[in-house]
Amino acid sequence: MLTTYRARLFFYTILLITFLVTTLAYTYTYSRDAILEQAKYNLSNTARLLAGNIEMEENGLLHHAEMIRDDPRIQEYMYMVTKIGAEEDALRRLFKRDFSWLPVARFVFLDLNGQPRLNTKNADLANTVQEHLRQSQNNIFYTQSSRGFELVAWASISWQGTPLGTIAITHLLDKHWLRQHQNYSSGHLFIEKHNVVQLSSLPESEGKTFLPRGDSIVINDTIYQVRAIPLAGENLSTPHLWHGISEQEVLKQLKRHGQIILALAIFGSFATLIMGLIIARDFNRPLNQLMEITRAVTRGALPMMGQAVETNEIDTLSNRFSEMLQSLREKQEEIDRAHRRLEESAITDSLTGLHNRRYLKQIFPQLFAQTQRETHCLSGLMLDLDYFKRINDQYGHLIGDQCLAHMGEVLKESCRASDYIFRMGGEEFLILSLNDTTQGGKILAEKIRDTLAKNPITYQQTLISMTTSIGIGLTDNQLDAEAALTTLLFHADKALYAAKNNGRNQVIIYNASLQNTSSA
Amino acid sequence: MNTGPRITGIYLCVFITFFPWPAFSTDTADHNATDHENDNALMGVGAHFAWILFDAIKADLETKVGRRVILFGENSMLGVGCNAGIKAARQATQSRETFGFICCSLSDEEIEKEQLIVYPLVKEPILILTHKDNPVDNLSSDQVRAIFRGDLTSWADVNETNKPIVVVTRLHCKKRPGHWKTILPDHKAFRQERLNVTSAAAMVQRVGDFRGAIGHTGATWIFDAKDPIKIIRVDGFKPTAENLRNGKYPFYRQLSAITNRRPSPDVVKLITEAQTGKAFRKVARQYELLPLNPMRRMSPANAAAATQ
Repeated sequence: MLTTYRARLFFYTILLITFLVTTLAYTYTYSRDAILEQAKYNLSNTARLLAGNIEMEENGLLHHAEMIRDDPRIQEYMYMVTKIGAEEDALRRLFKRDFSWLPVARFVFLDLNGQPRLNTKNADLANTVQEHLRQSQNNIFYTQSSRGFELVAWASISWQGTPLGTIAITHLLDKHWLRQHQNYSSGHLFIEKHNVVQLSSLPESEGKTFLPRGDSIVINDTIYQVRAIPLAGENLSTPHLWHGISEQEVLKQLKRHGQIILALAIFGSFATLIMGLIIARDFNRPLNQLMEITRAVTRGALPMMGQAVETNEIDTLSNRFSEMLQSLREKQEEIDRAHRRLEESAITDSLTGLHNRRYLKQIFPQLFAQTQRETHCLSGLMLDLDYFKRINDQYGHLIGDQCLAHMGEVLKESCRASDYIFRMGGEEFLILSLNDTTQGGKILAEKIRDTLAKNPITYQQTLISMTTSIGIGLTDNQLDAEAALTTLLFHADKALYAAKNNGRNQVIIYNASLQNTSSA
Repeated sequence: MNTGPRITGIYLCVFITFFPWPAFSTDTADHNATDHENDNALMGVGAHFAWILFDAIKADLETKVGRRVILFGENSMLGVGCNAGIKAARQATQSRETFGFICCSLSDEEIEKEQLIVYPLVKEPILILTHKDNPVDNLSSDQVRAIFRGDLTSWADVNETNKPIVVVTRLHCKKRPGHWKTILPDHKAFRQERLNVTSAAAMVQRVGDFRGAIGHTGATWIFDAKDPIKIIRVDGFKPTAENLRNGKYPFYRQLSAITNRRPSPDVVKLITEAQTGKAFRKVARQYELLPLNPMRRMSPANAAAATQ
């Protein structure tokens, strides 16, 4: 399925992104569960801590009550007040002087009849203590009064074995008290009675139904994890204290971290995707280039391929491939040059450097077509060295060859660049010349004849003069190329023959009268 | 983190802290001098009146005796009681010249047992205290004794005030004659339903707390103007030195100095100066104390012999 590396790279990128997102999602989920578990654990610990603190507070209040109870002056004064009938102000002054530092909300002395003997304004407290004493001997209990919830500690006072009454002191469980204990945690405290929140550090929860399911409760659409904090003398008619923390508050930090995790997931996925695309592009582009070049090479081409800065393996491979192409190109050029040399030697006469008869057959159709297209006059000048056999015989073949080469040089110098010069064989040459008129060929022929006659070659300080006979034929533009060439050569040959027969070293243009003469 | 400077700082602090610097501090020098002078001082320990009376004349005594005098009592928990004074007198040596003060008369048996010499100084009136809101200004000595005995339990029995009487007592030195025993001779004779205190300060406070309270204390107690108490007359007489002298005021105690049987001459000289000196009498007048010795009637040596 994933047959190409590009597909595999794309698959790996998607796989990496999936792995990244899954890992982050799992981390977030796991963190949420872990934080909630830790919060529950911390909540239990905090509840225990609060329970310990409240127990200390209960014991502290009881200790203060007992301290008042055990003070001999209190006992004496209480005796004087309850037994002798001395004024209560003395007891009040003593209490104010020596116990005003006590952190109590209010206090009351009860005589043996349960009547408040000091702070009659706290008669309700005296009644509550009396009521409690009828039901329980627990020295600490909680009650609800017009002032709110109160923690009450009481102790019986006697002097020298004579019972005198009871001292009761209280702590007020108010907002300040809640704040004081709330400082131990980031949660909230709820004082509940008869399943209704009576007082709370979370004001909006007051008056709401409080019926926890397990360890959690929903208040105002917020889930709170709650733990009960035991209070002294707790029963159905007394208030119950709960400590709770909202899951939203616990997860607030995680939520903030969740946004960071989401941002990381998006950024990470995007970055991975970009990186994948960049890698794919970096991988794909040179690969495509290599593949295209390979296809071109397969078709026989050797395209140019630039060198890249080698930063990776693909660059190195591309550069090696480029070098290989360059090497192939150089070899190809060598082959081409050799081929051209072979082609040239095939159409060139090695002695004179002129074209040979084979080239004549190649080039003639083009020239003929041009003649037909431009309605020019194509003249064929057939040349033959006069008495060449005699030179060969007299001076040898080497000199004969030199004469032929000299003849070739004369022809090159005399002809225009547009003229084609061929060595037809032996001492016979052909010139194809495009001219506007039929006289152009004759003028060229006279020029060659004159130049050759005036430029002999030197052999061992002996001048060897040469002449040439030239016959000129004209093409028939009505014929096809092959027939035209045959006709041209035939007519030129007839004219050359006539020039030979007329005494050589002359130019004759073919005409119809020469039709029936025999060739040389 | 470079910890070099921190370690250097710690070493420097330790060096400064523990280097045996010379004692150039003025305070330290003073303390050393004081310690040396204390070794050569005459030291008095005992009942609280000592610092009221003797502190007032200390400079005069030091001039007369030519020795530094140190009195333990004021602001101290060491010498505020008669027992501490007796102990200080007994423990006196040649190198540690101490003497004591007592606020009660000692029995002959106790003087003999403890091998003491008693130097009577003054008679001090015992003040009868009530709350300042109490309309009573005068009580007969029989009424006072009846109240402290518990025979009278309401002020209605004395005046028109219908308040219960709260008796406050300080019955210390129960085995010694004198002091509160001029009111009732035995602590068992006092009303059982009473407030019993252990200091003059507590006495003043208790009497101040109860509008129906009655209590007693020595005349050398310095009252605060804010104390809600008052001193009443007995048998129509104020607690003054003159009324003690002529026997009209019935409640008093005897204040004395004490030494062991081998007192140093300077200690004897100091006590004799207090007994007979002019300065002491001036202070005694201030507190309505009745001196028990005539002024400069005999030499200190003769006075000591006479006491024995």
